[in-house]
Parts: sequence; structure tokens; C-alpha cells
Amino acid sequence: MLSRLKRKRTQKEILAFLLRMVVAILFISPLLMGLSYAFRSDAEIMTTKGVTLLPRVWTLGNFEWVFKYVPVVKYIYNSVVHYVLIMGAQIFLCSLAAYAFACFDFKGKHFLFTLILFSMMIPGEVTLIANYIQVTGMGLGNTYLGMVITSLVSSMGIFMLRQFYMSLPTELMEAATLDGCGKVRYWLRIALPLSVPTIASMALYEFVTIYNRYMWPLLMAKDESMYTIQIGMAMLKGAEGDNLGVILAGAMVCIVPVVLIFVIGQKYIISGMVSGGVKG
Amino acid sequence: MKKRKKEAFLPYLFLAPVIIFFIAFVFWPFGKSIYLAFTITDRYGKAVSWVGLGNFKRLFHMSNFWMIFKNTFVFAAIVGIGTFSIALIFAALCVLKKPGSRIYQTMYAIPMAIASAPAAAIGTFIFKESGLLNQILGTEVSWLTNADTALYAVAAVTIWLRVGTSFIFLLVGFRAVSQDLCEAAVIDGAGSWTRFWKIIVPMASPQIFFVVFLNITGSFKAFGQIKLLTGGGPSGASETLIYSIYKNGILSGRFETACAYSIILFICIFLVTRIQFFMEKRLVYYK
Repeated sequence: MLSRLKRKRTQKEILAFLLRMVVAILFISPLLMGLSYAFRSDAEIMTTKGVTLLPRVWTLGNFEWVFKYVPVVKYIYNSVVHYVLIMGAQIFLCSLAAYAFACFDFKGKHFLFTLILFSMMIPGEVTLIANYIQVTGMGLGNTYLGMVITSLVSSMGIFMLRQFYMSLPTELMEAATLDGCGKVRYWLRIALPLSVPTIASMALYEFVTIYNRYMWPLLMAKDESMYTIQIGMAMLKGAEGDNLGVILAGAMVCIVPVVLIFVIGQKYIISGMVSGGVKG
Repeated sequence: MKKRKKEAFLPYLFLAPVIIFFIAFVFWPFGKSIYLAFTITDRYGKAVSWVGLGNFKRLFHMSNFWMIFKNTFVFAAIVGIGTFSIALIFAALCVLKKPGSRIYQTMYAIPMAIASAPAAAIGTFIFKESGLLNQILGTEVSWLTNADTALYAVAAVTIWLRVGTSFIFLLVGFRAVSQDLCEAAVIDGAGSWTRFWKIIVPMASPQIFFVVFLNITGSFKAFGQIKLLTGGGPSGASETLIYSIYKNGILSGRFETACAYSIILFICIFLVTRIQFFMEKRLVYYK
């Protein structure tokens, strides 16, 4: 009796699992179908009637084309430079600011903090044109610096790190001060190293955001040699309008690295996202 | 004593770069956008003459402007409702941790890691005339170049990209609802359906509220998919405020018009967040 009940229950569980998997596969089917079509030759795509799940003949032709005629490696390099510059600046500048807010008392603290809160009410999309005029006017159009300069500080990063520094026990700082450790040394040697997990989750989450950035780099990058992978692959669509296999192969080259990082680091990405709220 | 005096400078020193950044790249350009919206600019973005409300008056008299304005809010409504509904279903499916739940949970979230540019490539592959959707339905609609469907096709891609984030926020909210409460409800004879709607959903109302507004303001900022799927077309049928900013400012070099659009976008976002705060105070249940 009991075992029959138990078996019935396992059957129900398996059914529930299958239902959720079917929903999941349907949801990411655009991605899966895109992947499947990226492995088909043009001839096959043109001649096949209706939708088939798998290619009749698997071919790497589209990927070979993309890597041969498009400087993919250069684009990825640009995206990585982009990320390293932004993340490096954000980690350094945001920790400094967060440390000042969390561990010092000074005149104007409340005012400066409110100023940063106010800055969050002005989305980058609203200041886009004025920033474009300003940054190109400074002669920074088409440079790495110009492409990253409007993202070097994130208010979310300041809040997350401030939260962390405030959670450090005050005894820690007192003990360090008694041992003759100054405020700068305390930050460099104790507070900053302790905040590495917070920074890591911020860095992973920001990787997805920065790697996927499209609008600002599009305005800044004039030469092909400055394109990030997003801009480069989007241009492929303009240039190769009807060559579906190639366009999808380009899209997959663009998607695969970031999806892999997302899947591997999702625990940290999600915790960073949830603790920090999210920038639209 | 001397040392203390020296340390009094430290916080200002630490904050200086950040404050300079916010002034240079947020507040100053914001002020400049407002200023330029009241002027006529040359092709370098320098104000040539002051026209007061002239730019706004001109926009308000264009039927095109009202179409763009309507598109922005229709788009926000579709994206808001669509994303929330799908994310709610996914979160409901995942409330209980089960063996293997990590697999489908990850799959529900994956599209949020995809950028607008490759998503637009996939969207084209699905929505173009010889695309996947027409082959499945056996129809011959050119979804992206038809004025009746273009905005909806772009919204569909946007929803697909946004579901993951909303799903995660809802799931975290649902799972934070105390197990004791749910167990007590089970003892009182509440089925899983009642438990979900009568306990979990009300208890997670702050997250639900957050997600709904996150998607509305997020939809105002959707750019890449519009540019790459339809280019705002056909004849403005899928153009929203953010695309108008780009089109006028970057493509046509009409910076003053782009700035006027920026200010209108700002007011929209500002009003929506005001409404959010106002309603949050009245409707949301906080423990």
C-alpha cells in the first residue's frame, strides 16, 4: 500500500518535472532553433520547406565564413578591453566612495549621499545626446576612453559596497587603529580584501551588462577597428541581409560566451542583482 | 592632533572622483539637455539661438509625435503585462525546490544574458517573411514591415529578453515567504492553488510591484532591438521616444529636437516612478 502510494507520488513528480522542462525548452526554443539553423548551409535553408528541428547536413561553413571575413577576435578583444576598463575603474572608485560614506563622519556627508541618490533618477538615455556632444567635443569619439567614460562609476556599486563596509564590525577598525593602522592602510589591507566576494559578484553581474552594451558604443565607435562584438555582429545583419546562416552564426558567436558565464556564475550574478536592485 | 586634521581631508579626497564624475556625466549633461531643448543648435551641438518652448510646440503639433508617444506607452503596456505574466508563471512553477529544478530554473533565466543585437538577429530569423513563424503558421505576414504588427514583434523580442530578470526577482520574493505560514495553511486545508494566490502572492507584493515598474521603465529604454529589427518603421509604426532621440540626434544631427525628446522621456520616467512610490505606500504589504 505504502509503496504504491510512494510510486504514484514519484510518477507525479516526474510528470511535474517533465512539464517544467517542456515549458523551459519552448521558452528558449528561439535560441535553440537559431543554433540549429546556424549549422545549416544556405542551400539547405533555401530549399527546406517547413521547419525541421535538426540540420540535414551539419556544416561549420557559416562559422568559418564569420571568422574568415569578420575580425571577430578583434571585436572580442575590444569588448574585453571595454569591460576591463569599466570594471577596474568602478571597483576602485566605488570602493573608495563607499568606504568614505561607511567609515567616516564629515561635513556634507548627507548632502553628497543625496546627490548620488539624485543621480540615479536621471537615466543615461536622457543624457545620451548631451553626453555625445560633450564626449565627441572633447575629441574622444572613436577611442576606448570615449567608449567607457560615461560608465566609470556606478551608483549601485557604491551602495552595495557601502552596505558591505557598514557590516564590518567596528571592533575591527578599533583594533587596527590601536595597532597603529591608519585609515588608508585599513582600507587597503583589511576592508578591501574582505570585500572581494561582494566585488566578485558585482564584477560578474556587470560582465553581462557591459558585454551586452550596444547604444553608447554604437555612437562612439566610428572605425571598424573600434567595434565591440555587439556592434560588429549587428553590422553583419546590415551587410549580409539575406544570408541567414551567417547572421545566426554571428549571433551565436556573440551569445555563447556570455551565456556560458551566466550559467556558470549564476549564483553570484543573481545575488549581485538581487542585493543591488537592477539598472533597467 | 595633527594626524586627525590630516584625516579630515580623507573622505573628501576619496569622494572627489565620484562626485566629479556625477557632475560631469550626469548633472551637467542633464542641465545641458534641458538648455538645448529650448534652443536651435548647429551641427556640432552648439546653441545658436534661443527659441523658448518653440521646439516643444513644433513637436506637439506633429501627428508623428503623438504616434511616437502612443507607441511608447503601448509598447510599455505590452512589455509590462507580457513580461510579468510569463515571469509569474515561471516563478510559480519553481517555488518549491525539487531535484532537477536548477536545470529548468536556469533555462527560464538564460535569455536575460543575451544582448539586444544577437536577439534582433534571432528575431529577424523568426519574424521575417520567409521566417520561422510564418512557416509554422503557414502564413505570409511580413511581421516586421507591416505597420499593424511591427511594434508587437519588437515587443515580443523585448519580453523574451526581460522575462529572466523579473522571474528571478519574483522567485526570490516567493521563496522568502515563510514556510511556517505555508504549512499552517496546509493544516487549515488550503490547496497549492489557494496557497499561492492567498498567501505567497500577497506576501511577495513588494517584489511584484517592483517587477511591474521595472519593466515599464525598462521598456522606455529598449533601443537595440527596435533599431535592428524595424529601424522604427514602417514609417514610424514601431518608433518610441528613445528611438526618436537617436534618430533626430545621431542620424539627422538635429540635437535640439533630440534634447526635447530626451526631456519628454525624462518626464515620462519621472512620472512613472512617482506613481510607483505613491502606489507602493498604499498597496504594498510590508512585514
